[in-house]
Amino acid sequence: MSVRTFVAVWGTLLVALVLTVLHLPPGAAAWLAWVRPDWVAVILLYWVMAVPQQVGMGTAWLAGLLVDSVTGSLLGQHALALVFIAWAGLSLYQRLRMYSLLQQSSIVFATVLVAHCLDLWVESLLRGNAWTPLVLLPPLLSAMLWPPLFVALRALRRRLQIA
Amino acid sequence: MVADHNSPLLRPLRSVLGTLATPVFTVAEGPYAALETLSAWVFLRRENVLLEQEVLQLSVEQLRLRALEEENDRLRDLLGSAGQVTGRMLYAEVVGISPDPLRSQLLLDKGQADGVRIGHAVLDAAGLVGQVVEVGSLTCRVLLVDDLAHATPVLVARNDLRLVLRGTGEGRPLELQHVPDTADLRRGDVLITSGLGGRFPPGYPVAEITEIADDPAGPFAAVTARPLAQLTRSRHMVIVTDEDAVGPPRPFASGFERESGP
Repeated sequence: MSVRTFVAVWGTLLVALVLTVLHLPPGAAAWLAWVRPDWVAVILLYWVMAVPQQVGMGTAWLAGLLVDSVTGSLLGQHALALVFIAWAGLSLYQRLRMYSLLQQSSIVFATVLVAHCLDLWVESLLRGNAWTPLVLLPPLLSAMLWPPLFVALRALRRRLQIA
Repeated sequence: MVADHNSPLLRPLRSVLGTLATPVFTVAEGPYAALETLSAWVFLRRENVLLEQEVLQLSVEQLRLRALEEENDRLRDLLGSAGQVTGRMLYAEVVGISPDPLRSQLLLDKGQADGVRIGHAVLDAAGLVGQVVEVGSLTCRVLLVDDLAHATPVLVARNDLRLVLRGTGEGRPLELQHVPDTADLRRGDVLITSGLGGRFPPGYPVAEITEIADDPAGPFAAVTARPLAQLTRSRHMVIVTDEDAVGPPRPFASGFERESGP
């Protein structure tokens, strides 16, 4: 991984981490906490798709450990989910690149949903049943986030000439 | 994951990662901190007047309490039992809130360097907030009483009935466990920490009973309570760092507990 790629990938992932811990103002309704896209997953998926030779499951694992650390979950819980996302990206990137943005969004929805299910599965093993229909919200918002994020990150990648 | 759940082996790693992650929280709290500074500028004078009045009022009450405490200690001496220790307190400020709807946790700005250890109780002006579950060098993570995984040993202040109070998730009411249908409970009863279990200092208010429903089909009454501490609103908290202040030690060795556990 060149220095430029490293800075771009980890820079954007750090921004995603900050967006992950951004919380609602105190007193907001509890269900609103579900209304947030999975920033780290979407950004990771973009980089895996764009530069699969440089960004893969190792990056996903490290990023996942950082997410676990900031959210206070079990070490490895988000890492597992993100490694799944990286694996899906690595095995699908050739097809994903051919798709339109809308089709890509639906793939994003599916992978983030499975990743969230993995996350919730670990959660329910540890602390009892955690399932709620609201679980569908983060994957849905992640899919809606994909087109603008894709365009923005592609512009960044071209500006920095990362291939 | 198994290692992290079952053993303390990964605690150093967690605390290093937590320290590394502190700037992330600082940035994420930025907008709220800016807002607070702004409102501080605007309201400072009025708040100052109110606070001065409150300090006066509290110090007058403190005078009365000190006399009572001394009298209480003398009486306890006469009875031959140990006096109650008022714990050493550490003032802390909230620097982060868990965004995850499945866990209710806070990040406070005191850590290992300030003498915070895992298990210390955290209070605010109105009651028990939770306990420290993870300590970094500069910050610590607090599990709140309304978290799904938190249970607090409590007493009913009115009649010393011992019960266990469980959290059911962020923003949801607390639940009293295994309450017989005939228990003497009323709506509005205040629950205080009992100190049993050796984790929390005894005598601090935790919650207030909001609803009592007899379930004719179930073995126990369904009793819910509302936490007295401002779990989502307060910014200033106190960590009880004196380990002598907590209640009696655990009555059994952990082996026994495992056999009889749920």
